[in-house]
Amino acid sequence: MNLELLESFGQNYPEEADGTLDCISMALTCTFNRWGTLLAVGCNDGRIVIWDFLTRGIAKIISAHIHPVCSLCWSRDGHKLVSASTDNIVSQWDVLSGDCDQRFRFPSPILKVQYHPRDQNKVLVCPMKSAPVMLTLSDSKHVVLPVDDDSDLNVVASFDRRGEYIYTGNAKGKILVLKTDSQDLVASFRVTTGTSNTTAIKSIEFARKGSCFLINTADRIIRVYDGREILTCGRDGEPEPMQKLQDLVNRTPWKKCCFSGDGEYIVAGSARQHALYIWEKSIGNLVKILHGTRGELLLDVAWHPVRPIIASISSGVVSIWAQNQVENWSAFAPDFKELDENVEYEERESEFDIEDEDKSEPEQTGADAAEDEEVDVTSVDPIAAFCSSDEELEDSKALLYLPIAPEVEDPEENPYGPPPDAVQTSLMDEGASSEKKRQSSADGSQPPKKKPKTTNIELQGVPNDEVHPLLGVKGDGKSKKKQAGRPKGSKGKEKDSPFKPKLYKGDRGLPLEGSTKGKVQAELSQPLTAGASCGAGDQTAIHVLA
Amino acid sequence: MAAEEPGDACSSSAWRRRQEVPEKPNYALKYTLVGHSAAVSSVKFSPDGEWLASSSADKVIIIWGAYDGKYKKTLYGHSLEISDVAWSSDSTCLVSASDDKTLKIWDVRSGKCLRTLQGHSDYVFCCNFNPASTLIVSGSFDESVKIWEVKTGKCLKTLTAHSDPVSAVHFNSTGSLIVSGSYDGLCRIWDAASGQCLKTLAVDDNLPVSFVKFSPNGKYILTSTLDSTLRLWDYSRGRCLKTYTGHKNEKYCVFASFSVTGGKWIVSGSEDNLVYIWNVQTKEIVQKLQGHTDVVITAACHPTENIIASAALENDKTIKLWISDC
Repeated sequence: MNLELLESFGQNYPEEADGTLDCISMALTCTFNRWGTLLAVGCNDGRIVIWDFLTRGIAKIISAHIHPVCSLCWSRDGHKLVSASTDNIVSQWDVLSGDCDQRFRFPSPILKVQYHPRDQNKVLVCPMKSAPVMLTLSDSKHVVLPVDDDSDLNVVASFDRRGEYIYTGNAKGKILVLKTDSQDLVASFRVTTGTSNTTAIKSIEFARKGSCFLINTADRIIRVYDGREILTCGRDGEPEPMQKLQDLVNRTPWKKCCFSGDGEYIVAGSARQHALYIWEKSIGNLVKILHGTRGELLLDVAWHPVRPIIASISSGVVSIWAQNQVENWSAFAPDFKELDENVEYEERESEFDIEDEDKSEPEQTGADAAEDEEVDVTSVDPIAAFCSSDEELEDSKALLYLPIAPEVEDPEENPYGPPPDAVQTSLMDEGASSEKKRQSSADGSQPPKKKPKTTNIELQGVPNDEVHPLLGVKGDGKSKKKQAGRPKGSKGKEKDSPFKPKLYKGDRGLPLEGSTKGKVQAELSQPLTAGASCGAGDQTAIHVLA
Repeated sequence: MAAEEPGDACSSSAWRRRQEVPEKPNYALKYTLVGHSAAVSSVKFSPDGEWLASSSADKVIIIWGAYDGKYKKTLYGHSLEISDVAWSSDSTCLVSASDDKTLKIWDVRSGKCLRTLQGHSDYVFCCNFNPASTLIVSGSFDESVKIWEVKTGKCLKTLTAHSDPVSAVHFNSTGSLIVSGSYDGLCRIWDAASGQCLKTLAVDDNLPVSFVKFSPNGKYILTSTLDSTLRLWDYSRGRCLKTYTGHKNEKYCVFASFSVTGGKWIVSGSEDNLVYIWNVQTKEIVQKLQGHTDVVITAACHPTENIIASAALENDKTIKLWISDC
C-alpha cells in the first residue's frame, strides 16, 4: 500500500457513522482479517457472513452451525476461520471452499476462540467453568492450561501479540502469564481495585503493534499494561498499569474493548448503551464518544487493522464508523503546499529585475543526475503496515480477497449478435458465489464432500449443563428454557434494558432465532420454525448480558 | 530499420548490475493476426498468459491464443466503437469501454456479456480491473473517473477527476491507488477506497497526457504526452526520473508498456508505424519493430514470456506478435 508515501500513516480514529452492513441474519460477533480486507460476521442463525470491506458487499456466506455463532477468529494467512457456536462446538473452516476442516465438541459453552498468532495449528479455547484449553489441530489433541485457583473457573485467556505467551485471568483478578510451548508460569500478578478488593477479569486484549495489552475488569476500569513490564516483574509481581481508563461520570461498564491497528487508541463499547468511547493510549484522555441508535445494546466491537474504521454490532446490524472524508484540495494542484502557519516571504535582490544580470548559467547538472538514477520497476517493498517487526516478508500465499463473479443480469436484446453458427456455451456461474445459490442449498457446499473430523473434548470437572451467556442464564441449570424474570448476570451488571431484536423473517426457508418472551421484553416477536434451531425444540431467547 | 537483430546482440555483457542483463532484445515477427474489420484500439494479454484480447472500432472484441496467434472467439454486444479492453486477474472476465457510453463485463468462456455498466455521459475511453477484480475503474470523455463494483455493476464512486477527457486509468499492484491521465495535462493519483485525490502531477501544462500507468511495483508512473515523449515519474516526490524520446506521438493515445520478463524495457507504439523499445535505465532505443502499415496504436507485453503484441489503425487492422530471446 503506497499510501504511506502519500498519506500520513498516523492513524486517527473514526469520528462519525458511515453506514451499516445489513444482511438477512442477525449479527452477533465480528472480526477483521489481518489486512482488514474482509470482515467475518457470526450470526445468530449459525451462519458466518464474510463481507468484502472495499465494496461493502457480501463476499461469501458459510452455513457454519445450527446454533448462533458466538466467537470467530481468522488465521494469519486468511485462509481459515475458527468459529464457536453456542452448542459448544468449535469448528475450523476453509474460507475459499466453505468446507469444515475439523470440529471439536466441548462439554461447556465456549466464550472465546483464538488462533495462535503465528502458528495456525494451535487454537486457544476458553470454555465456561473450565480452564482454557489449547487445541492442536493437526492431531486433534488438547492441553488444559494450569490455573491459579481451582475453585473459581471463570477464566479468560489470550495469546500475546506473537503467541509466545498466554495470559489468563480469573474471577479473582489473578493474571497468569504462561509460556505457550511448555505452559510454564513465567509471571503473575493480581489486579486490585482501590481498596485491595479483587475484581473479576472479563477480557484481555492485545494490540496488533507494540507490546501493550488491556484488561477489562468488573470494576469498570480498563487497565493498560506493557507486556514487557509484566515479564520483568515475574511471579507475584506488582506491575503498575500504564493507564487506567474509565468513565467516571456514568460508571459505565464495558462490553468489549480493543486497540486500534497501530495500538495508539483504545475503543471500548459500553455495556449499557450504544456508545463507543475512544481514548488515546499514551495520554489516557478521552478523545471521542461515538453514539449509536438509542436503546440498542452493543454486542461486539472491532477496529480495522490499518484504517481508522471501527465496526460495531448492535441489534443484529453491523455499524461502520469512519472518518469524515474531507477532500484534500491541495492535492489537486501539483505544486501546492499547505502551510500550517504564516510564512514571511523574503524578496530576492533580483526579484523585480527585468533582466537578471547576475544570473549564472542555469543549473543543468541537477536534472541530469536525476535522470541517471537507476530505477527499479519490478521489486516490491513489503508494506510496513502489514509486516510485523520480527518478520521479513509478507506471506505471498495469503488470502486477501475472495473471488467474486459478476451477477448475471437479464439477457438483453442483442441486435449485433453473433452469426447463427456461433457456438454458445453455458454460463460459468454455476459455481459462482452468488448468494441465491448459497441460500438455497442447506450447506453452501457441493454434495460430495468429505465429512469433517469431529473430536469430543473431555474436560474434567466441567459441568455440562451450562448455557452460553448469549442464549440465556443458567437458572435451574437443567433445561435450556429461557428464564422469566431477571437474569442473573455472572459478571455482575446493571439493569436489563429492553432488548428488542430486529426480527428478520426467515428467508428462503432458513430458520431464524429470535423469539423473545418474559417480562424483560416489551414486544413479542414471531416464534420460529421448529427443529433446526434449538435442540429440544424449545424456544431460546437471546439476552444480552453485560 | 530492420526488425531483426543479429543473434549475438543478446550476449550478456557485464552491465551495471551483477547479474546477466541483455543489452538489446531481438524481437522478431512471429504471427500476424488478421480478423478485425476496422482499426484496432487496444490489445491486452490475459494474466495467465494464455490469451490475447483485442478491441476494435468494428465494435467487437476478439480473443486469440497468446502463444500461437490462433483465433478463438468474438464477443459481440457493443453498438459503437470500443476503445479499451482489460482482463480480470483470474483471466475469466473482460471489461470493455465503448463509445456507446457503456462498459461491458464479459465472461470469456461463454463469450456472453454478463453486465453492462451505464452511467457515463460520453464516450468511455479506458478501463481496468483492480488486482482483486472486485472493482472496475473507467475514464471517459465526460471528464470523470468512475469506480464500479464488479458483482452488482453499481457505480460506487464518481471522481470529478479532470477538466478534459480522461485518457487512461490504472490501478497499482495492490489495488490501493488509481492513477488517471487526461488531456488537461495532469496526472492524478487517487485513493481507491475513499476516492480522495492524493496527488497531482503536472506533466506538462499545455500537452495532453495520452497514456499513464503504474510500474509493476507501483512505485513509478509512466506517462505519455502528445509531444512524442514518455516520462517515468517517482510520484511520491513528484520528480521525472527518465525521459524516452525518438518516436512519434502527437495525435493518438498510444499505449505503452513495461517489459520485465527478460531485460527491462519500455515498449510503445508510434505514429510512424514502428514499435519502439527503450532500455529503462539508459533511455536508449534498443530496437524498432517494423511491419505495420499504419499508426501502431498499442503495444502490450506478455506476463511471463518475451512476447510483444502490437496493433495498428485502419490501413493495417492487424495485430502482430513479436517474440524475443531476451
